[in-house]
Amino acid sequence: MKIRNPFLLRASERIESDAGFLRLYSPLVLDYFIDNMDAEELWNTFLFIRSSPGAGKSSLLRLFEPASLLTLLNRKSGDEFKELFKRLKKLNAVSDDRINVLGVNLTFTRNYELLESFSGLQPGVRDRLFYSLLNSRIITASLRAVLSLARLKFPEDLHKIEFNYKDEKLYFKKITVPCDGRTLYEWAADIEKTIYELLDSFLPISPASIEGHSELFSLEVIRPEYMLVDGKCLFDRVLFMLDDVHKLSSKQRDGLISHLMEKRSSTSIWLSERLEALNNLKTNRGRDYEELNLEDYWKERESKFEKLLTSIANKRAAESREDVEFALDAQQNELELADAYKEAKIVLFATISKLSQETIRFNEWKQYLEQFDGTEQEYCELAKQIEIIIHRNLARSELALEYTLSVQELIEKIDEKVVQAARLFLSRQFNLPYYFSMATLSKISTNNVEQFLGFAAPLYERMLSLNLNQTSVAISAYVQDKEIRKIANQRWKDLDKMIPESGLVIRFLENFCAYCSSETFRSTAPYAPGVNGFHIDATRTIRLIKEEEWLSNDIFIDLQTVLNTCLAFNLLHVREVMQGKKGQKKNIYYLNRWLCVKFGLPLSYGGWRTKKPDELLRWIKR
Amino acid sequence: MRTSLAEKLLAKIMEWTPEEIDQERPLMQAMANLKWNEYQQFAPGTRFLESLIKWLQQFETLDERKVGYRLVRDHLIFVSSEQMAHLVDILFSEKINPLLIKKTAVELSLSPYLVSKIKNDKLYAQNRRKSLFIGLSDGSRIDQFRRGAYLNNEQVIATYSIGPEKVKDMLQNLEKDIPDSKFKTVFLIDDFTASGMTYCRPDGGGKLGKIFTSIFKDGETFYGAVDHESLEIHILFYIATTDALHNIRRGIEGWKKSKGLNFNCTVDCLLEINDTSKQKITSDQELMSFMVKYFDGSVVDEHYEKGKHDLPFLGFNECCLPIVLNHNTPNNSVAILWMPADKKYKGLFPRISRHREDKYED
Repeated sequence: MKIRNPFLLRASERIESDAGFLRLYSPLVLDYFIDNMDAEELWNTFLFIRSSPGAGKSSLLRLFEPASLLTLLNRKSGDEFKELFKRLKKLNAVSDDRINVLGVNLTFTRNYELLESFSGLQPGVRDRLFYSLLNSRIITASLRAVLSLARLKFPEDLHKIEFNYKDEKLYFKKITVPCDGRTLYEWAADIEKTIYELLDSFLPISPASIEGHSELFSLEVIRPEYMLVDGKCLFDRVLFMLDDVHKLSSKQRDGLISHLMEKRSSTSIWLSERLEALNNLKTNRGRDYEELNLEDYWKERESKFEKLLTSIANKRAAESREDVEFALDAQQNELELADAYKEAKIVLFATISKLSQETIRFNEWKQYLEQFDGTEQEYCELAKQIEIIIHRNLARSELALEYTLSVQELIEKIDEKVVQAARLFLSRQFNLPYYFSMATLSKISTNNVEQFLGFAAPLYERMLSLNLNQTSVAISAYVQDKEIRKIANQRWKDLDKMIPESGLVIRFLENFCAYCSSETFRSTAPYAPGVNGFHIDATRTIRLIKEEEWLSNDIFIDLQTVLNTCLAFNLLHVREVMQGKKGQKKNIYYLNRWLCVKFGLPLSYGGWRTKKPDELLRWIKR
Repeated sequence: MRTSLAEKLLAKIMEWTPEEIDQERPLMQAMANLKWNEYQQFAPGTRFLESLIKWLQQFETLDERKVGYRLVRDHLIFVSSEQMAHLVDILFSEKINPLLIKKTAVELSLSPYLVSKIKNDKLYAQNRRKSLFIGLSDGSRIDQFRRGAYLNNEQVIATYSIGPEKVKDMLQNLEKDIPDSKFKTVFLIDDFTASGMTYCRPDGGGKLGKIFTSIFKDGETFYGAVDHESLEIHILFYIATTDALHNIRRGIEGWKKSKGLNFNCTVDCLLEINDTSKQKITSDQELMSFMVKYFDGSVVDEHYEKGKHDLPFLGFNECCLPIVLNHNTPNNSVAILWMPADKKYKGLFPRISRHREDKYED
């Protein structure tokens, strides 16, 4: 059923029908695989998929589940599915008449962590139970996937699966293999049941009664040639997708990853996790594993990300029962803002006159401005640019010679950064729109699809309202700016409910943003268009603490908490820049762009200041 | 009427700006889908939105329409069928079972907190079987209640006016299960009361008087079926106002005194409504004058006049409730919510009256 505002639908897990999901899925992210790997390489790799919540991990995994692929195969020629099918075919996941890959999706929940906190067990036993539980769940998930792919019913048709693995390594203790799917399923279900009985029991139970496993053999025994239906092999390869790995305890996660790395079997394994579980893998990327960091991927492809969002927006809008397009005005409406610009024009000229009354240096510039033949908006922007350049000129300490500067010199000094800064300053001074257009919305989304939807949903609601009022549905720049700021303010208000240690984090962000604001809006616009990031330099202050150790020092425990929380909840994100000595990389912590909106800062990258750890700590304590 | 057309009309008559539409439309849609559309007394084909538009259109000025809209948005309490079903489902465990446990505890001389011990005793099972459950109206949903509480068919009846044959039948069935026994506890169940007048009226009338007579007067329907020695009567409502509970308790005491009888009788409910919602409405002068203006005095008949009626627009007995039940709006709610379709001003959730005034002769 179509709904009023499909932008309110979130996360793949919550979109129920497969066709609905596929219709809303934008295939652009698959280009990562197409661009970076040939098909064989893709299927033989151990791949990490990482991002903050909402960047599209689970959606990507859901795409490879049998139910999604079957739906796609059935409707491959439909206009809305064509592109997606083409890309998946390129990846060899599907052919024209068949699905080539069996996607087995296992989502981790916090209950695995329970095993770890179960004090009644020896550590060795705990590991064995963990692997048993994993094996049983992977096998159950695989059986389900096979039935789904064969369009059979679970669990009624389990007996139709032939599991003809020859148990040479004696993995199966309680059943004889080869066997049929039902026997295998019952074996797996039995293991899971006994483990739960153990966990639920108040009394000590001997774990000896449970079949413990010392390795993850399920990945080895689920192969196309071992899983037959009606004597036929239905697929060419198996893709194991382990979702939400960050929900395991850190010990389980580390153990699982190193176990998988050691085995390095030729099976395809994708692990998806949030960035909160980020740590060094001490292995070689490329040889041992590949990593797709969804946000990093989009970071380097700004225009492609905007294209992705446009495609998502169009797909969502097409799903609305109201038949309204998602349309944002990309230009300011001069008519709507005529009064504001008229006032700005007078104020700006007066400011420039006042600034230059003591000197003749800027006379030609003033004259140039007076004679400028453009729209009111263009006039005001030029005036603001001149104002910035005059401020810069006056700020010079050396004694200047009193002669008139040429227009040529002015034009040379006005670079793109000054243009951007002038636009920002103007909007702040005269309450003019700054955050508008699809390109801006894409920047505000900070490489995160869910964040985009968070902003797009209320904007689309407005389009629906405009449609109901029988006016044009495109939202004007002025209204976009107002609404986008309103949404950012609301997010800010909700922040204390969303994050742990919110008191510290909020104080830190407020102080940091106040600092950014004071640096950005200095009259000379020294870091044009503005500051919205910082780099941590430990070398200059903490003489008593070794530079690389400051982060693990107890004095900075609050700072560590704040930075970790900000990264895990995507309030800050890190970008690497090359600066200083040759080849030296620096990590810059940038504000998530919605925070820039909240504090009226520019959305550009590159404006950052170096701060010492104790200065950062002061922002938390103050 | 198509929803989008109805929404267009609504936005037009309310003169909403796009910003207001952003806020109001999702709310109206969600509430209509969740509950309001299920009102059973809408004319066939009518849904909430159409009713709302017609309702708002009868108000002369935009300001009045805004006041009307505010009554719906900020004050209306709609009890859906699902919510009522939930109350029915929990009545036994929340109200009835504790009474049975308490009664058994006294008889066993045990502390009522020893729940498992009491429930495992056969006396508890007997007390449960020796309870008679009587529905006082259709709204009591006594069938659903019986199934949910796993009660014997022969101890639950949907109405108090049944023939002596049926009572005899029930008693025989009880004696089959527990020889030489009679009903020791009577539960009277109804869905809703706002004034309590239907049950106990100042003039001595009302449902309860009739039922008590049929229990305590020799030769009446239930007289021979109950054990007068240890009889307990419990009157239970799913929803009741605090005032109504007081009035009924007072009425029962009066009845007992006038008949010189003494028996254990309690009155209770699952969801008690105090006068906060009433105060919210009566303290809003704008809303009060709006309701005065849009009131049709012809709804005041002899039945209506049995309650307080100095401010008749506040509903029967001036209860001033903002409540609508999914099957009908109580006449104790403010009149502008329920006035029937044949009146000068129509209610948003028009009510089907219990006391119809059809004319059969000239």
